[in-house]
Amino acid sequence: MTARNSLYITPFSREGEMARSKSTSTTPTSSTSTGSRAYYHVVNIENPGIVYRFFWLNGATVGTDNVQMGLYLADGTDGGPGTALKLGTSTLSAGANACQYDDIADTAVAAGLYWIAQWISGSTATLFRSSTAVRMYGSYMQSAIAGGLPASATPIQQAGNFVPVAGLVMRSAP
Amino acid sequence: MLSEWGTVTYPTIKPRQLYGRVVSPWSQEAIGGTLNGYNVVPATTDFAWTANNAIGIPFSVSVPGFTLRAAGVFCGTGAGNNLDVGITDLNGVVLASTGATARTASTAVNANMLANYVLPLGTYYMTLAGDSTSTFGGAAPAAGLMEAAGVVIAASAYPLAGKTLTWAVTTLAFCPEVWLTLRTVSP
Repeated sequence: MTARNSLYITPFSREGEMARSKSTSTTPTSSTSTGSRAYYHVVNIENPGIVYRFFWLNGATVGTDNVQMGLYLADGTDGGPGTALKLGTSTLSAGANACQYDDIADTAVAAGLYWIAQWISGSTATLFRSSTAVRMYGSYMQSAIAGGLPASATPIQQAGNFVPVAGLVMRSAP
Repeated sequence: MLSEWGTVTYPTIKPRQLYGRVVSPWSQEAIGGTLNGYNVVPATTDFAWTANNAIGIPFSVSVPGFTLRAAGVFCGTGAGNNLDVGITDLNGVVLASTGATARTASTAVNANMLANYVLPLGTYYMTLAGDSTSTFGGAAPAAGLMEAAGVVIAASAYPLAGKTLTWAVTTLAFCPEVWLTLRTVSP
């Protein structure tokens, strides 16, 4: 029998890879990213469920760049991120040091592997992220995508050591 | 069971004893994975409470047999005033609680539930409430990190019995050392 889904599914929750990596992870802090870049992180959703919202955790600087979240199927090369199952709305970051939510149309997910994606338009706004060396955990990135997350991912090896505090909310409220 | 070879007696299969221990925020049934990923370890740092508020930590019951018998919390410095530990469902309905329990200074306080409580499969909030600004002990990660783990808070929550709490996302930079135990004698 499998564990129930977490209410907030992130790279850090029990569905993600970071949950098993305490010895090497660093506590997430407010940091800038590289503009027009997306990061993809795998999660193993063990039970069917409904994704009600995307969310991310803003850092101290907000209001300068847009953020977009997405959820991708693991139908890319060797199970990597492929087709977008659901893309959120690109939104200007607002609310320092707090979670910002994107209320999407309810999206059903079956049990299986998925990829959480986070994109940011510029390099001024800050987001909470761990700077753990991520290559051993199989995350990917995609650069130079000024228009936001793509309908189909073209991931490459991550060079940013960027693990965002961001993901899926399996409740509509609070 | 009768077959062409005679009567076959099957052995009694006992339920798996998966819940012989304590469930805390650091358990895998709760947000332990997230706290591990955050590299937030248990601590007993003093955190000043807001009178009559409650904090809720999500946890799941995924195997039958979760019989809740007691609960506890690490109190901060300074004796006096009271606490209440319990469980609510995701809608804030209090299902079980210890009832008013006196705080003691800088030590763990355990209290029996008012009655043994069998939790069906599902997801719940492990809930701590206090009637004063007296402190509780715990870890102090950034508030947003706790919100991103699904932690919630509610006002006007003490005492817990009979209430339906109005949960909101947490704004507290705090993860309490609180636990539920399935033993009558807490560790």
